[in-house]
Amino acid sequence: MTAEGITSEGPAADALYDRAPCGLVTLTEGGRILRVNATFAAWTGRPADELVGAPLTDLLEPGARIFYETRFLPVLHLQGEVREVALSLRTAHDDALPVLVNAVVDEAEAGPLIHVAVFDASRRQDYERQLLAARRIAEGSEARTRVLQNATTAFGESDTVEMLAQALAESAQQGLGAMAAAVFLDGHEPHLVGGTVPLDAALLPGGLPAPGAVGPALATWSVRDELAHPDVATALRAARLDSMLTAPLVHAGAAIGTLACYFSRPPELDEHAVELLGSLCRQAAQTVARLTLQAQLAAIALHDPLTGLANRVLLRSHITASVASAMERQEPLALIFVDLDDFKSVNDELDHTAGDTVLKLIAARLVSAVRGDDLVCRYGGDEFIIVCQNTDHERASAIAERIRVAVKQPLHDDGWQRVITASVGVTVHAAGPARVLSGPELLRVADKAMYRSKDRGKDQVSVITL
Amino acid sequence: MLQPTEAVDVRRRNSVRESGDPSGRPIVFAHGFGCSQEMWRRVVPHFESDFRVIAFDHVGAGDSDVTAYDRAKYDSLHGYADDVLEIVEALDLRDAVFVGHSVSAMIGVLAANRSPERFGRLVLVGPSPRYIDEGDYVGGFTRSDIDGLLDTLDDNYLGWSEAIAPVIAGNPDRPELGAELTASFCRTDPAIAGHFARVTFLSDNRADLPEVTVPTVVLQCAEDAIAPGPVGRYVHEQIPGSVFVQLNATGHCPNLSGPDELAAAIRSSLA
Repeated sequence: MTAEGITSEGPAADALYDRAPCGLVTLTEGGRILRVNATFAAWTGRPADELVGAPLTDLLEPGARIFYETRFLPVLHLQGEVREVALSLRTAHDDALPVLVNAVVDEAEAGPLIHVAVFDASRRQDYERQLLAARRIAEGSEARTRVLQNATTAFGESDTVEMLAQALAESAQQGLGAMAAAVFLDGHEPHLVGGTVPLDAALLPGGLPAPGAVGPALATWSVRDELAHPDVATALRAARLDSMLTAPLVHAGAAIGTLACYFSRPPELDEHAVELLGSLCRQAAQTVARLTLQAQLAAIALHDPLTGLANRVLLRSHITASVASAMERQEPLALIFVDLDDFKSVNDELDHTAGDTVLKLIAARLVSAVRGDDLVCRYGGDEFIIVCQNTDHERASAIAERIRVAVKQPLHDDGWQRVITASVGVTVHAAGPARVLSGPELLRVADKAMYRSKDRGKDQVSVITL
Repeated sequence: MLQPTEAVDVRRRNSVRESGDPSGRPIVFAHGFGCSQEMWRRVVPHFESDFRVIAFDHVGAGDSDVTAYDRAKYDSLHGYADDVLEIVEALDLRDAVFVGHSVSAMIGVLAANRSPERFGRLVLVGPSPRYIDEGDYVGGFTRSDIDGLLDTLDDNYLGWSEAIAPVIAGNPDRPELGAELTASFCRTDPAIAGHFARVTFLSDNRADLPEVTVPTVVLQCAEDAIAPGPVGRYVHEQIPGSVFVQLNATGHCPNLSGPDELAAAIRSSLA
């Protein structure tokens, strides 16, 4: 048999059409099937005469149908031809058959027709899908790992709770594809510590109504919760958001804060996303605990454990800073030295527990007697120093007098009552002095003023202005 | 509020093209997912005699400036609606007719809800506020169908086939278009197309429909596999005072399958 044996018409040509190793389909301009070959009919699992008249789109898998309608057909119409488009047929047996499709518009006299050649791409596509699936898994896992690694680094470098909160908000935003994220910590009431809240600040955790859906520890709200949560739905819509979620920060079994994420379209919270969120929140909660502990340690190092007042370490740095600030701003600075009179007799006549109680009560009175910005320090056993910034002779004298009066009010505790007095010395470093005194020099002058009060009979105030 | 847009050349960013009568009523054509403003080439000529015709490409499509693509901004349809408003402001359009096909119908709804004073009419061609079925709502697709679309996109953009072959079959009517079309035909950036597909087909904008105040026309095709009849009806029912028009054109793209009928329907809806 020679090539000439197959003419353009006749049984041989019909056989080639029907049994060609590819599917052949002719469509109307509108996409309805006019004619199919036997190969195509066999692939679909349907008889040819059943296929004729149906839109080709009906034979496609839904996902492929969207691509066919939104991309394949427009390009075919505009360009006259498309090549090697990957689609997926749905067979009569409900199987998916991946195919590659070429199509051309035939401007026939009776009206345009579309000729389509369909190739079975199962093996090629199986291979590609495996590659693709592997790539997606690898990319997804790599992206999550990167978010976690970056978060771990940022958490480790956080010196403050605010830095930590910012790092957590950024990591969660990136990891979940959120539009914004914010971190709240529970204090007396939940307060924003890091990130941004893109909606009405009234919708803080704690102020939120019970969530619409609760996953493992996650709560979500959306604009569609109109009936259940009209306020949240309205606030979300006003902010052009679709939904928000909250996840608790838990440390040692107790909630210490909340992470909130805001989404501009429905979030895709698969198991990986939930797991990532959980890891971020766990790490962040541990870091919050670490930073809180550090802050407590720092506070302990700078404060007197008995009275809670500043200790000498804090006093020294505060005086140095106050002197520098006073010189720079041309402001007066006052130091008040308070020494309790005959405190030793309290310990001798009562006991050391009572002595401690007296010191605590006096400390509280000193704090009440001074202004909010003044620093009260326990300098030694029964000695206290108050640093008063931007305070002149007149105001310093008034504060010292308030202190003297406050101290001598009767003290009492279980089974005892006592009146104790204080000798108070004040030094005032006037604004813009001829000679600048250092902190230790000021302290020595205040000490001298205090001894002047002692010498004059105790329970009084002496002021030395420089 | 919109950010000041002086710094951004929106005409270049969105490859805005103007034609027709500069003193006519402005009519803006917005293309849907999968193609570019070329979708409107058979419709635009019907309006050039008496309308100021504006067509543009969404960022990522056609001749738009792909470097303007910001994943966070375009992670919801609001980002695209912002672009529409910036175009409308840059051209200072008033009483504009906005014709949005497919996903651009919802983009138009979002834009018009934010700046209703700019728009005189919304024409929604094949709109769907939610493609995925949910409870009583029938969008026509399931979540796994959309995953199938994303797979199909990847199959077609996975290297060996790149984009659909940009071969031009020649256009006897306008041969001078050949070279230009070869370069720009329905061109989409694969990565952006994947993201745009997610944003389009996973969005839920049902709640925005009752807030539409601009007079609206819903144009529904026959046998639309993407935005089926009941979805078009739903959009019509949810938008107060809207008009529903059933077209004879079949499929999801009447701008290609029935451009004359579509143009006539748009015109009569403006009468």
